Amino acid sequence: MLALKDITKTFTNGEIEEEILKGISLSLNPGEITALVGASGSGKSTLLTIAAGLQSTTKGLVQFNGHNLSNMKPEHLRKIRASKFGFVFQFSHLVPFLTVEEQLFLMLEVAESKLKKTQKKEKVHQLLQLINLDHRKNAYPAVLSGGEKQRVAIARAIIHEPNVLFADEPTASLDSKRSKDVMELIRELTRIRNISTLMVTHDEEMLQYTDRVIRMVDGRIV
Amino acid sequence: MQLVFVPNMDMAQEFVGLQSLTNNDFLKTLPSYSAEQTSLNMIVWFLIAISGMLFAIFFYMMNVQKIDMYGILKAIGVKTITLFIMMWTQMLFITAITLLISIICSQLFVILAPEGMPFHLNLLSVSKLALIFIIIGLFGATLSGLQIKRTEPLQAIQNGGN
Repeated sequence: MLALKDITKTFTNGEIEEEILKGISLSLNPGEITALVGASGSGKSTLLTIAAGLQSTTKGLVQFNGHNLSNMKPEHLRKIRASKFGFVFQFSHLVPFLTVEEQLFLMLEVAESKLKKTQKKEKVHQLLQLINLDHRKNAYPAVLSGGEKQRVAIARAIIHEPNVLFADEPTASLDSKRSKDVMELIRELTRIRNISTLMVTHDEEMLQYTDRVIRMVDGRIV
Repeated sequence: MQLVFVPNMDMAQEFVGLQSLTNNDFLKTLPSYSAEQTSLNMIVWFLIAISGMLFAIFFYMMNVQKIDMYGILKAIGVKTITLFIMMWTQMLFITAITLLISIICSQLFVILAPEGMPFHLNLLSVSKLALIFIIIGLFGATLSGLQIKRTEPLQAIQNGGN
C-alpha cells in the first residue's frame, strides 16, 4: 500500500551538503503499527514527513496505491493527504474555535466525504463513543485535558477512514498513564480499521504497543 | 453682499433684491465656522483612520499568531481557500458584534445627549462607516491569509504548531 524505495534526502546549508536519509526502503502493512525510533537527528521525522508527502525526496520513490507521491502535483497530493492519510502530532493542534464534534465534521468536509448529513452525524457519534468522549462533544479544546485533546486529535485523524496514519511523537506531551491510554487507542483503531500506522517515538515504553520497530542511526535503518 | 438670517428656517425664503441662503449655506459663508469645522473634521477622520488601522492590525495579528495552526491544517489537507473562508467568517462575526455594540452606544448617546448639543449621527453616516470598517477588516484578514498561504505545512510541524 505505502512503500518507500531507496529514499535519499540531502539538505544543503550554504556549501555544505548533509545527507539526512541514506537509501531507506520500507513498506507499511495494514492493521500494523510500525515504530520509527532513534536518536535526535537520526532522520526519523524527516522519513515520516517524506512518507506523508509533506516534503520531497532527493532520490527514491514513495509509492502509495501504485501512485508515486514524489512527482505528484501539489493539489493531487493534498487530496491524498486529506482523504487517505491521517495525522497525529506531538500536540493535538485542534482548531480553538471549533467544538469536539465540529473538529470531526471539519475533517469529513476536508476529506470530501460523500456521506449524508445524518450519516456523518452518526459516524461522529460512534467514533466519539469509541474513544469515550461522547459526553464532551460540545466542549471546546480549551476546556479539555491533554489526554482528551490527543484522543480528539486521533479521532480527527481517523474519522475519514484513512489507509495510513502518521503519528509524530503522539505521546510526547502526555504523562505515562495518558500515554498508555493514547497508545492503546491507536493500537485498537489500527486493528479495527485496518490502518497502516507509522509512528515516530522517543519513548521506548510505547514500543510494546507496536508490531514492528525500525531503528534509525545517522539516516540508515539498523 | 448683504446677508439675511432667519432663525429656525431650514428652507431659504426669497426676498426681492436680496440673496437667499439656507442655514447650511449661510454657515459656510462664515470664515471662522469653516476653519473650526475643518479642524474638527480632521480630528474625526484622523480618529477613524487610526481606528481603522488598529482594526486591520488586530485581524492581521489574530491570524498570524495562529499561523502554525493553519500550517497544520494545510498538512492534514485543508484547502487554502477553506482557511481564507475561516478567517473571513471570524472577521465578519467579530466585526458584526463590534459594530452592533458601537451603533447601539452611539445611538443611545444621540438619544441621551442634551437637545442643544450639536451631535448628529444619521443612519447614512453609520452605514458608511460600518462598510468602511468591514472593508478594513477584510483587508487585514486577507493580508494575514496571504501570509498563511505561503506557510509550508512542514515548517508548522517543525515549529510544533504552536
